[in-house]
Amino acid sequence: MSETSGAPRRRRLPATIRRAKDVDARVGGREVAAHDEQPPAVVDAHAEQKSERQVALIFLASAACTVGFAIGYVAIGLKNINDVELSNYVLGLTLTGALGFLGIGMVLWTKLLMPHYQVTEERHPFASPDADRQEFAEVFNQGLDELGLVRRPILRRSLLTAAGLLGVLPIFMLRDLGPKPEKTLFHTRWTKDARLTDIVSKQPVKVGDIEIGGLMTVMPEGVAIEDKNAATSPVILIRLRLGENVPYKGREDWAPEGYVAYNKLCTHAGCPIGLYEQQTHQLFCPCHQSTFNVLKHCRVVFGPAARPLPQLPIYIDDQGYFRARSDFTEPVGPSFWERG
Amino acid sequence: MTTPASGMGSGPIAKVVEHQAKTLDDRLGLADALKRNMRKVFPDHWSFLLGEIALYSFIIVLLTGVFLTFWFEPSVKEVTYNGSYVPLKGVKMTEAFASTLNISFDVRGGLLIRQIHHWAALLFVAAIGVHMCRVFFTGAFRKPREINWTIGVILLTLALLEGFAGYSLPDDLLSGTGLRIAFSIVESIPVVGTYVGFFLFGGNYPGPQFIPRLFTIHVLLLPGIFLALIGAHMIILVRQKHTQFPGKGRTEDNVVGTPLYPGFALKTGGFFMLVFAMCALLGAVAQINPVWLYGPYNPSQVSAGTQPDWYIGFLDGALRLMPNWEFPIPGGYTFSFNILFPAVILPGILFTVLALYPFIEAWLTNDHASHNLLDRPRNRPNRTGIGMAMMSLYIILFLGGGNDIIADKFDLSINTLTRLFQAGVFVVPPIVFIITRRICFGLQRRDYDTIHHGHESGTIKMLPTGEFVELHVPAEENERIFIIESAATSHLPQVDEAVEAQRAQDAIEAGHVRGRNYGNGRGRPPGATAAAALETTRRKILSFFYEETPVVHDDEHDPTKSLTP
Amino acid sequence: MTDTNAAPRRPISRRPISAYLVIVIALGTIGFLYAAVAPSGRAATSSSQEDLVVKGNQLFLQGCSSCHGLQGQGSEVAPSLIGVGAAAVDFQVGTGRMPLAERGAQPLEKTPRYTQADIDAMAAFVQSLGGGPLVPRPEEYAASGTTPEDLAEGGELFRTNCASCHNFVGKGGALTHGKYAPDLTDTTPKHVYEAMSTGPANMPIFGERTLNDEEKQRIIKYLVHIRNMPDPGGNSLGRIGPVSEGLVGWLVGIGLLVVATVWIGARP
Repeated sequence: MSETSGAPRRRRLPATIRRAKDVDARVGGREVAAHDEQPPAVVDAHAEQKSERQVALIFLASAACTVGFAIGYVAIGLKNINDVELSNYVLGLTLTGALGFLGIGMVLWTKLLMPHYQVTEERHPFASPDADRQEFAEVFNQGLDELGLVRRPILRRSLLTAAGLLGVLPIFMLRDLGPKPEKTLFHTRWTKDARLTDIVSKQPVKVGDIEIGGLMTVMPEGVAIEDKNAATSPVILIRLRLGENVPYKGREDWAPEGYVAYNKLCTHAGCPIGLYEQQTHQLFCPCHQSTFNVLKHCRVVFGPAARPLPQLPIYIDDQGYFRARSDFTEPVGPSFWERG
Repeated sequence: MTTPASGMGSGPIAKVVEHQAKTLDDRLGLADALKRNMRKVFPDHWSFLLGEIALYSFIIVLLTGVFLTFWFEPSVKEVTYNGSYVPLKGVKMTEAFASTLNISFDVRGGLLIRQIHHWAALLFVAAIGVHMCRVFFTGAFRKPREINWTIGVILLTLALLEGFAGYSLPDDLLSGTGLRIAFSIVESIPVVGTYVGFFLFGGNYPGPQFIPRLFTIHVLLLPGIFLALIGAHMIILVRQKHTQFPGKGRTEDNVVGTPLYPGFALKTGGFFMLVFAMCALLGAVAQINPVWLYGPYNPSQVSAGTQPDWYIGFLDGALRLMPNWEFPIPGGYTFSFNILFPAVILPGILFTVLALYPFIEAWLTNDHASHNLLDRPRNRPNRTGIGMAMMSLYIILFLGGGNDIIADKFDLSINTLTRLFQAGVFVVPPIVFIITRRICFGLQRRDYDTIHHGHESGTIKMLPTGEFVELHVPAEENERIFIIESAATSHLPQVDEAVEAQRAQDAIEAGHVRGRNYGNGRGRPPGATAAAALETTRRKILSFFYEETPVVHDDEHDPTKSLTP
Repeated sequence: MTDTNAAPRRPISRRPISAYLVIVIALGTIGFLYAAVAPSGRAATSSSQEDLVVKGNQLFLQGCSSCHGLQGQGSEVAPSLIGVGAAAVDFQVGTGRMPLAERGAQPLEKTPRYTQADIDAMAAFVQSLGGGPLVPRPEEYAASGTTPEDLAEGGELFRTNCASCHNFVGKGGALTHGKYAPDLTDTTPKHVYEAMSTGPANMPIFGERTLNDEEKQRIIKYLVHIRNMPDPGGNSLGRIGPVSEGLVGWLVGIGLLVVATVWIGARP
């Protein structure tokens, strides 16, 4: 570097190339690839000065953006959503400028003001020389011999046993991550005679609360969706025209006065199914498009779900409220191994 | 730094640097390692910068992620929101969701950093994808770089997990639905699925423990593994040096390009700033993951158009396109193939094959040589065809994951679309394979043309006979060398007749070449049958996929023969 | 519309004399005010109402009866209109869905073919056929005077009942076989209200006891608030979730960065 750094505006390009060659020669194994060497172009000191100013200006633009960011940060408080919008634009765009100008400046620096040359680096095969391999093998084998791993099978096996057991230990310690599934997946929070209540207003649902072609998401009375193990309990109560429902065998009295209740979780991947097409009588899952025919005990008519939605047996009590006859008679939601 | 003090410059800056360098080197002795590595050569071709997008977006994700942890509360404790986002005031939600709203609406610059974090995460995975494409289609994964390719595939897999974990943390309606699906996928694993699910989530879904656990995985476990693997990726890269395209002065035994210090360092530093600026720009002008619009998670609610982030889209698409095959297992068990296959088995196979691809290709083509010169995709029509076919499969699955949005925005029937995509999974990849090969051959012919006739000049000349001809200008020397060398280096290893004959003989002796009767099948050593079967399979796959048909058979016109100087 | 006056005359339980007095005075005042405001109201309303029905009947015979039947009894190609109510007519014709231009998966929204006066007439006629939900009064669907409680509950109701088809902010979504839940961005509050109470096409009916008047209004207030709300994070990208985000990430993000790599890699 000494040879060039002290000089005034000079013909930097060829000088640097020469220097690069020297450095590379010293480092060893590298030299300037002759074909890529640029012809020692006439360096226009004026043009170079111009480029220098240009890059410096770009850097200053970046600095200005950073200052703008700071001003924006201090000046814009977050009182309402419009402030948040303004703040995000101001901070974001100034940050973009601060980073972007810096980046553009740096790249232009290399493009306009630095010598362009390519160096060639020799590769050496990765494989170690045979002698090295040999030596390694000897050292390694000697070590093995000193250890006596081969000679002392009892030692070897007992060590492996101990280490293996120790390796299993962490898996044991993960046991308390959660409870065993037990029968959790086989039950919901529905119980015999539980009233069906609107999930938002928590009001019990009566006959006539739903129009024909209407539906409502309901929960067992007294159970909120946030409660423990309640996430599988939401039920959609749909009112069909009288006589439209084609009950599954043995479920003739599960749909009083055309009201049917099905679990809201898709039997495919457990998304809540809320899309009810009241003319085609289909429930449609927005996640993976499984489609269920509500008239025919919610059997699958399209999509990746394999099983019908579980039906909640319901009846109407003396005061006209809907009540569950029991919990679901099968596990709800997606399939699992022990499901049967 | 390379030599004692006299080698340094004489300016004031140089003096300070020299002093510091001396102080450090006296204690650490770094000069030797630095002098060797600071002139590491980086090829100039733009495609070598694609991996850097991934590296830099990872750094950005790391920086912005640290900022977010200062306010984020990974807790499912229920709170009543009372921040400045009016429409959710008084709504019960988890602390995780409330603190995300807090970051977005009450921390200055919080929304910006959140959005930069998310955009950088999307770019991170996307950049890994394009980087992988570059490495795949140019054959940069071949020996000696197989290990680095495998590390890269592991990084991609972890990036998907890491992204999904981050997407799930705010506990909004959209990500909660995604987690619900994730739980169902775990549940579908035979025998242990429910146990694994309950242990992971701390009970039945949604589980009281999952957000804090996910947080630990997202900010500690996976980033730690990332740092280690990215470190290994880089060290191996430096050790093995870059690949390069063929060209004048470039051989298998060298690498030509810009040295790290100073040229490339400044350039790549600038590029880091540009990647960061891109993320900041997107964070400033394009809203991402507006959780306040989605609302807090509630297991009874769902939104139309529920989608994962793009990089999980292909898995969601596979789930959507899968037929509803679920099998009862005698003894009261259920095998949910409709979930297990698309969500566990398929990605398992895809990523395993991807991770092992370099070894598979080497085995099939019998090419065990080291390669430092890259292939041009056109010169390896079969590999290029396979890559494009796999990409088309990926894209179909990806589009399948957005079938509801596509149906809605383009007024199509979602049922028809789903059926089309289902058929497409089987029909499109082979067609793409064939078309890609054809295009490659066409490009090879054009290369041949360029070598022999040069480029069309656009000048039409009338001959004395009245005939019109277009003048051609010969291709430049560098281009000619590039084309010829590429074609020459991309040929598969010459079939060694002796080796092949021996292999055939081995197979024959094992009595397993179909259509011929070699009688004596008895008394052969155990394992020979399997070896023979494997060899037969290898040959079949090879002849189907990899036998490269030279475009120009005529020796006289073979550019590699007639034009090599 | 017609029976608003009937509302105060509810059976009254036994109360002290003073209560009767208050009611008598109140009724008297209301009657007096009513007479003052609308001197010839009663007769005029009644006759104009009849005129309206007659006019509506004529329009119906010209424009609707070929499918829906002369008495609105329906046919093989069109549903019965008995009992669908004025709200259904106001929604279907007011949003241009009816009359149907072509048979498709579901009626499409178009520029209305009729003036609001004609629509009112047809609505009155259909209402006369067999009752049903009335066209809501402006104060029932007005989205003014919104309080945070309105938004909190409206949002909860919207996400529970509406979002699964219309998406989290009402941008619409796909249903089976080419049907769709429409984008609600430009739907007037009145039409949103009518859609909830009448359940057009495949939309479920949210009757008065499923979602009461106040709940419906809160849903409307939430919807209107959200759709007018700025997107603090920049361009909304359509508010349709991660699909458009992924598209932007690839096309803009990766696209521009690849351009940058080419620029950086180019020889000067």
